[in-house]
Amino acid sequence: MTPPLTLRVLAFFDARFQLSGPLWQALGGGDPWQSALAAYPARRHHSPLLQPGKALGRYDLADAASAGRVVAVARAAGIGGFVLDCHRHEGRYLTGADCLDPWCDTDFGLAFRWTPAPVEDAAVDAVALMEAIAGYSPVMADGRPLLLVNEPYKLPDPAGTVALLRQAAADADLGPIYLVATAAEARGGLLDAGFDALLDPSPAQWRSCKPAELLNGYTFLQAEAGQADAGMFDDTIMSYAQFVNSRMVDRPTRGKVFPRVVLDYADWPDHPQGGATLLASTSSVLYRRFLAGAMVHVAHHFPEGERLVFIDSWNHWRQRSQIEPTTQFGATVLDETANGIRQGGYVALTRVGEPAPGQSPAVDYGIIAALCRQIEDELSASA
Amino acid sequence: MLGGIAITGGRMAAYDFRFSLGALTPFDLLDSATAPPGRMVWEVARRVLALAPDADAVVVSNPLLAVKGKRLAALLRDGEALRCPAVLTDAETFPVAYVLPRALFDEGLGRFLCLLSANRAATDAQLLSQLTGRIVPRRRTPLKSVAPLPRITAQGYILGDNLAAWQAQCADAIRLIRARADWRRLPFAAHHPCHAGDVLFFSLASRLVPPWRLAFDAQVVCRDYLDIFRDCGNRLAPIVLDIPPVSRTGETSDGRYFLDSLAHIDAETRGRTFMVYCRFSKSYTRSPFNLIDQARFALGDPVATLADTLYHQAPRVHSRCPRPVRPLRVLMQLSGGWPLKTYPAGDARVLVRALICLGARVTVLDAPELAADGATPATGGSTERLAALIRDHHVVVSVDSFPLHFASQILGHPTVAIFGSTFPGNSDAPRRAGYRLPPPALPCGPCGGYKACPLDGGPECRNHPPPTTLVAAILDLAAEAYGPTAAPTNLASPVLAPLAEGDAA
Repeated sequence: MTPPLTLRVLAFFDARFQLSGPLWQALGGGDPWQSALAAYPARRHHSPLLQPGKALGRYDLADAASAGRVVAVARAAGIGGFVLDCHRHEGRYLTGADCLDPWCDTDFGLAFRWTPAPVEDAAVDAVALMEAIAGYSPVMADGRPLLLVNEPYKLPDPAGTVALLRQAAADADLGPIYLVATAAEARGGLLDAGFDALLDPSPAQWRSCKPAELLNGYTFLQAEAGQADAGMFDDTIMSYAQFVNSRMVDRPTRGKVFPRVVLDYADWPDHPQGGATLLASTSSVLYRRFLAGAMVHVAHHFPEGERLVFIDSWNHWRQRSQIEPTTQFGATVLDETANGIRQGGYVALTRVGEPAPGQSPAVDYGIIAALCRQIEDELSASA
Repeated sequence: MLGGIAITGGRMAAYDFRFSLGALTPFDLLDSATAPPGRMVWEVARRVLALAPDADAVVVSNPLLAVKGKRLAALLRDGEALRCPAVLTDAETFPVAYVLPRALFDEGLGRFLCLLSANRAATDAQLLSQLTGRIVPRRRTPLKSVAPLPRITAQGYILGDNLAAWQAQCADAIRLIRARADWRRLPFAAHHPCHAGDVLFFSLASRLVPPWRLAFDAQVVCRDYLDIFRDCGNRLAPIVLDIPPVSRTGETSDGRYFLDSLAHIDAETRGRTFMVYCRFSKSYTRSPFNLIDQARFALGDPVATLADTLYHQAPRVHSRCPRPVRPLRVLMQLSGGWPLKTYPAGDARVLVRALICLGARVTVLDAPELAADGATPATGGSTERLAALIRDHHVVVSVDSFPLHFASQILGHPTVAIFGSTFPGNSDAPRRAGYRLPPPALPCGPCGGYKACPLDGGPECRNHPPPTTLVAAILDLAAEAYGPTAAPTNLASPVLAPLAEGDAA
């Protein structure tokens, strides 16, 4: 008999879309939508940014009804919470969580992402961080509030930072927290430093894929002659199908790494002179499978209470990765998200509790792997 | 979305139903590829009546168009006064929705809706007329003509020859009702004659549908698969088809095969049986549900909640090899119904050799070339012979093919399932002790590829689990099913077999 499944899909959320309040003031006021969407492609391989569709429009999160509508649409799609960025401003952190929290409960919570930056007193900074994230309906992992640490490789002393964060969380009455670092695989000591799990980096942070557009001398000459776009040399362009496969292939061997599911990614607005990361030939159907596959993986390999999948993103319009309804494509992507969550949830439900090969104490996986490698070598040598 | 409307005392209440991609609620229909569109009409009508028990009539949109409830209500209000029963059409002759009287269901005639053509309003109106004993008008809606029809609809229905097949089943039913006074009691036959795995799934489904839900009495089956039909305990009566099964290459479509095969069913049987086309109306990989659940739905079971699905059923069968646990005997089927299902040849050699190095005896079905690597070739043949072979081995390892389903679902034998290009959820077995499904690592499946990988164009599917994973799963499963002594003793010091002469080829 199949046990019930506990698995939560979270989406990264940009809470800056508000026209009043402390976060808006701290970011200098103005129209956040204008700031996000005012970018025009300078290269022919840059896809234009999409525009918010009618369903949610250019909402103002400071307006309670608008924020409630956003949460309601996300809930209806099967999303179980948002991940908000912590913005440092004058010695304290602002998240914008106060706009969303009234609409959250145990089924839909908030988690936070912190990007470390050089500070004078790390302990004081950790206290400020915990003050900013305490008091909201949290997303729990293993019964603990969730905090993501972005770009952990910037930390001079990961173990020390982890200890500081845990102490500050305890002092802020958050209790023990669940710390997740952004890293591709469980090597490099982050888990030893005290992080509870890892999370796939964003496409721009992790470039293990072969670029779809391989450069060669001829292309270079074309660019020199003005017949090809020189931006092709500077930007990293990845085929979406290869990107998705590279994220999921041999996933169990990477260790305790939460999947980050991406529909699209193009950060050219922030890299107008080159150096952007772009996904090419994206597909909403493949995205749905990516999402469903990630859910099945998590259900199969992660302990109950720690089954999380992250979607990047709900509304990062400037990176073209949003799944919110758009003017151009309507709710197609959101529908595919809902379908992917339903499909992944069902399939995961049928697989949960299944023994994973290689994890049985009765079998020494290492010896078998060595044996198979040896046979492969012999066969290829004899061929 | 599939709209349904309850009409109670002239008031309309609209509902929307979804072809489910995983959730099963009162508004989610198990998306069944083997259910004809008419089966969906019946199910929606059933659900609407459950939601509005006092309704006098229900209106159900044609699944091929799947108009939402509100839109359907607007179409009904736009035109002339609504009559019941009736068939609503577009500007030409395509049926948009069916207005069905409550009495149809009270009299237990709901299953006759499975016979609707869903693409010819005149034929459907005649069928409803025969069923209700009333003149059934066709009423045009403001909807423009839907012609030309696509090859595949937005809801995933494959049209093409299927349109003619649905029309033929409807026309045949009309003739039968006209000819027979006892038509209400005549049997329904599911036309699902091939292939081996599909016959197995339908057979298991027929056993899982509660008797009061089973809308069918017989199944058309190719003689080639009659042993499967019987040995899998099919509860339906067989109607044997003496022609070869439809080719998997797509040269002949399922719809065309249905039309051709009708001529090979004796006239006496056709003269007393309602034939329902139950081959694939959709691509089954669109649905996350197991093909057995899809077949159960086709046969009349609503499979309305997750608790009703196959994965929540406790295992019913249990089989173990009676031989001593050493040496471990492994039976493998590494090729499937089409080229891309076949386990990559190089990996197969590594798998066989690794097991033999570890002291296991390996028998391979339909792969004589692996004899060079130390395996014993064998042929399954009949289900009786295959069952004997399976019982003579401790563990079965198979790609998504008949031996896998037979070993795991019919016999309950220790089985390791290999899935690559196909979707495990469509055809694997429920979790139980003695079953392993090493998960395919990539999210590219199901790809629908037949001969070549749609991503890299190669002839092999790289989504198959690697030999290491399979060897680990086999040993782990053997230890679970037969005790720790079943695992090879020479795991720490395996003996590599020398390469046979000519291996380099």
